[in-house]
Amino acid sequence: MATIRVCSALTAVAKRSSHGVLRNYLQLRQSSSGALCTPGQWQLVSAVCLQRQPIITAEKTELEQQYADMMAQMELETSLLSDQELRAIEDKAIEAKRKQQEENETGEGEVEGARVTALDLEDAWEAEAKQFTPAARITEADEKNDQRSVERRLDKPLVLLVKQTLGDKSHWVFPQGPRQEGESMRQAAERVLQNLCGQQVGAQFLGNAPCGFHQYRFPPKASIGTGAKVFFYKAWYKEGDVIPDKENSTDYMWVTFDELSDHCSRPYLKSIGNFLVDL
Amino acid sequence: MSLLLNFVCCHLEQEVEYRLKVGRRVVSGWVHTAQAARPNTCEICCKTNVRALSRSAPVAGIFEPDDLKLEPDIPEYPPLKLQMRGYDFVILESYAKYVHGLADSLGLDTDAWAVPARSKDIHTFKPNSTVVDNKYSLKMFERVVQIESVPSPRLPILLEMMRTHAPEGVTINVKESEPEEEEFRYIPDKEMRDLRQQMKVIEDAREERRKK
Repeated sequence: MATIRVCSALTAVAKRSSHGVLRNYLQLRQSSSGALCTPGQWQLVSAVCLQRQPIITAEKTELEQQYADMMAQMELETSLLSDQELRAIEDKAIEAKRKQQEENETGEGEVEGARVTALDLEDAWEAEAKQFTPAARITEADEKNDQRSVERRLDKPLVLLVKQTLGDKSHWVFPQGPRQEGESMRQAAERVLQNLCGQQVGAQFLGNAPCGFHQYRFPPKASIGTGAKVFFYKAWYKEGDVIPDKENSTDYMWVTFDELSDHCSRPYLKSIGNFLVDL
Repeated sequence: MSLLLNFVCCHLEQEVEYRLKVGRRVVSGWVHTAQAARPNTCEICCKTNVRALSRSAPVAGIFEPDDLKLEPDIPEYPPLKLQMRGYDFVILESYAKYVHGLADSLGLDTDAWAVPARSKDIHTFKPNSTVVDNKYSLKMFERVVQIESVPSPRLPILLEMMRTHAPEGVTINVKESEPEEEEFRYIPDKEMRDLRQQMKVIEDAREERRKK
């Protein structure tokens, strides 16, 4: 499956872009630090949409398969003969000539050197090909339905969901955390990923600009502010195990886009759906 | 009535002032005097007999808009190359066409070209001998799509779409241009190289004679 190598220099484009755009868009008075802020203020939160991109190509649908078969047939019928097919025809001609000579029983039978026929070559190639066994499309993780494994559903993109306690309840969300004083939203996102999912997780962030937005209100009793504005940052998963730290995130799972609706709330899903791309 | 005009002459970099004398009328920027010295033109321009000199700038002045932006609002990436390489020509070319169309539809300035293929000849040997078992001749084909003036939030979108639609067997590199890669595209000029070689030989001989 293709991977895209991006020079690290590209992802460190001027931070000015995300700062300036956010400030103008939100028109905040003073940015808040940490979880505490005065009432009537919105908390700025960075979240990371960590995606494990597909490793194998997806299976064709029935229509796609039929169309592909038809196009292959058309291509075969309009194509010229390949070297292998020409060789097979030559072999037949030589075979016919040799039989004729045998029938005529002439003494001048030209004994040609043992010629490797096209069929012989094909048999040899088939034997060589049988020695290679491709890896299974359906892995162990699929069979056990182990949702914590990165190896499941190799033909679909997977997203990391983390069980976080926000306020009283725990929700299945993308790893998120508030922005602290003196850091940009992208830096906050990187810090959140490291803290919540462990130091081992390697991710390639795509640019300094967020890809999505979601906002929710805090319950009025808890006087920590009006609500939170969550900015999503997209990152491609590279390597490493997810080890949730027990304070903020208790559990994690890798899910496909279809399975998201089983775990996330409807407004959250609506915001997420805007930036999740699948075939 | 005299008019004071400021203009920048094409030959002089300083501003030059001219006064139109009373009695001379300037009609739509052209002065209807054939023999007298042409006003609003410097000495050098006067001496040329070319009638085709444009006169509108000296007469009307040069218009410089006030709201010229030298830098874009959203910072942009330098020109980037989306390099696609693969052994399967058909798949690679089809994908390169898709990527070019995708970059165009995202509003980026695109340019696309093919880089000469690099061939590899592979020989496998029978075990413990130098008898050639199999010969494979492989070609690594390459297609490049160059994108310019990419606003920084737009590149991640392009990369996401490229990765979602990428076929098997295609390696994608996103990077800035390198001089060695540009050199590889061109066929070296044998004649030029031979001539340069000859010149070098002659010059070396000359230097040796001088030393003696």
